Amino acid sequence: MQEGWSAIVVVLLFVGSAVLFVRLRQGSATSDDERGLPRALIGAEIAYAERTFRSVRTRLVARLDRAYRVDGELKLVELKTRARDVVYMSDIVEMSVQRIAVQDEAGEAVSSDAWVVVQNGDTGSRRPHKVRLLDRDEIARLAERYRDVAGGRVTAPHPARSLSQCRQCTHCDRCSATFRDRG
Amino acid sequence: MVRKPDDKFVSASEIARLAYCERQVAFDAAFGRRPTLHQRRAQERGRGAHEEFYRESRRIAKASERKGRCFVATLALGDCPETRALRAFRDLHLRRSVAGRWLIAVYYRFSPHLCRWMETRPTLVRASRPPLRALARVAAALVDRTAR
Repeated sequence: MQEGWSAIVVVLLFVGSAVLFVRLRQGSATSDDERGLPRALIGAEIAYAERTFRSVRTRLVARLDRAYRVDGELKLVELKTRARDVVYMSDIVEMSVQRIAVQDEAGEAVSSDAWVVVQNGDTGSRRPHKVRLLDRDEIARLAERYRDVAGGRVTAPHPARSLSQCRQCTHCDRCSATFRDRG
Repeated sequence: MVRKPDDKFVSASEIARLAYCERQVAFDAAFGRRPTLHQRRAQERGRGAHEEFYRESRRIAKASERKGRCFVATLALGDCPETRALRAFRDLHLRRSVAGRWLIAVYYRFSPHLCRWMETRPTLVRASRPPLRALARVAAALVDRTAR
């Protein structure tokens, strides 16, 4: 008789746990929304999303995808859609500029560690990559260099690292004719 | 005062292109930017993914807002160092394990009801302060140990 009651209690506990589990999964609007995020950011508070920041001091402007507030500082997250699961130097530069713009406009501390979430263009799956951002001086030098290159004050701008990048560029013929090293 | 061209704001994505190819930046500046069909398609795909990412951001932010309101410690103690210690404990310790995250989820599921029930019982809110403060002290000590 006692065994019968025990079995009923166990079954009831099991059913109760199963119902609770299903309800929690259905109720948590964020479970799928947080896919591809690093564990450290799951459940953390989003401070900014799709917002533009300006640093008047450095004349830089940046639009960030998402910033989380974790342990008193902001962590930047950038989504990239790519065929390959890779992070490029350009991602790090872009996020480093975002960091300066947010620091200068919002006055909040922004972590030098950030996350690039790479979404596969075909499957939609996402993977996070932790990156270390460049400091203010490095970005200031790059901004200066950009202004010089775009302003035509650099006689020998650096080419792309690989020729495969050149094949996707609409200036390829012009570049080959001008510099004669991209053939 | 007329601003010099170099005083214009430069965007993060423009500077990032420098890491890709300086010559492209120079040619774009001189002749205009002309994305290929492949690049336009990729940009379109990226825009769609970003829109979805933004919608997700809004849902997550909404969920965080809901969570913020239902914290029993906030009801009893207000926003103070003790509640911040409890939140730091949640973020630094509980969120690191599956069991911890499950516990957080269960807590946030039931705490709004508990809060509503407690709101009409000021004696209970007062009585809950000392144990919550004690708990916050333990949480703060654990958080400090982790931070060191």
